Amino acid sequence: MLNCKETTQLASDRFERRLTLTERMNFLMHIMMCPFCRRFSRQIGWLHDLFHKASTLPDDQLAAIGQKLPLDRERLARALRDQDRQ
Amino acid sequence: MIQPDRSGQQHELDPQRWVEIHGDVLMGYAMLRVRDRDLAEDLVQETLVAAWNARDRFEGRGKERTWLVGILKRRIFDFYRRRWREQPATALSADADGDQMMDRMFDEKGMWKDEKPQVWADPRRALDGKEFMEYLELCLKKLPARLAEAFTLREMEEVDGNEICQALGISATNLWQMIHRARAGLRRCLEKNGFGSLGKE
Repeated sequence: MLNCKETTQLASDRFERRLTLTERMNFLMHIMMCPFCRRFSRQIGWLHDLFHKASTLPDDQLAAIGQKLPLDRERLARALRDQDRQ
Repeated sequence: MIQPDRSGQQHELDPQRWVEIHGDVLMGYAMLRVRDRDLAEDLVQETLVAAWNARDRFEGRGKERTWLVGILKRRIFDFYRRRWREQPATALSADADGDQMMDRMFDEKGMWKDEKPQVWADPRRALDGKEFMEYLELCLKKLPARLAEAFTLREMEEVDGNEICQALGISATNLWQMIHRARAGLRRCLEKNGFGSLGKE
């Protein structure tokens, strides 16, 4: 029987690799009985989905974030012009 | 570079305009991934300069924005690769990667200690990607740095696990453990900050 530490590791590994049949069986057996690991497992799945959402933000939302950190546009444009002079 | 505009007229591509069109988007992209304003700006500048010098080779193949983001992605990974290589061996000890953090969660038998996972309402509808990142900001800072970095590259940049292993000089099993620790630490920190009740509203 797996302990909680091992079980949560497998819960996480599901996003990184395919679990073996034995691992999957042991995992399921444990979360059937343990509400904490069951919650953990479901919650990191939600977080995974939210990460995906955050990593695929549309351009207008990225721009909104960028605008709050005003770029020194003059300096950047100058850096590009300097390239042409070299 | 000479580009035809909408009316078909040829005109010189202007650096100022280029920065205006792409600057903010690239900055937002970098900021979400490195969470440091100055570093993000450096990476954006490197990206634009590299792209500017290679612009003749690009010449309308695909979308310009996609091409720039591709360069920026590579720069972000290269930055971390360099940083990890420069870290002294002591900084790579297991402790820096969250042994203590895990010991606070699990006892010596590997069972949950006091702070067991609580019931959450599904937060996915309550938050868009941007709001989620605002929440995360706080909690990613609390993780050991390499955990946060490796996890961000894997989860947000979707960098191939093997590439991260090579950059860190660790095995796949070690990487999986690091990523798990990052997830567990984040989950707990978010919970402490009221994340679990967001979905109820």
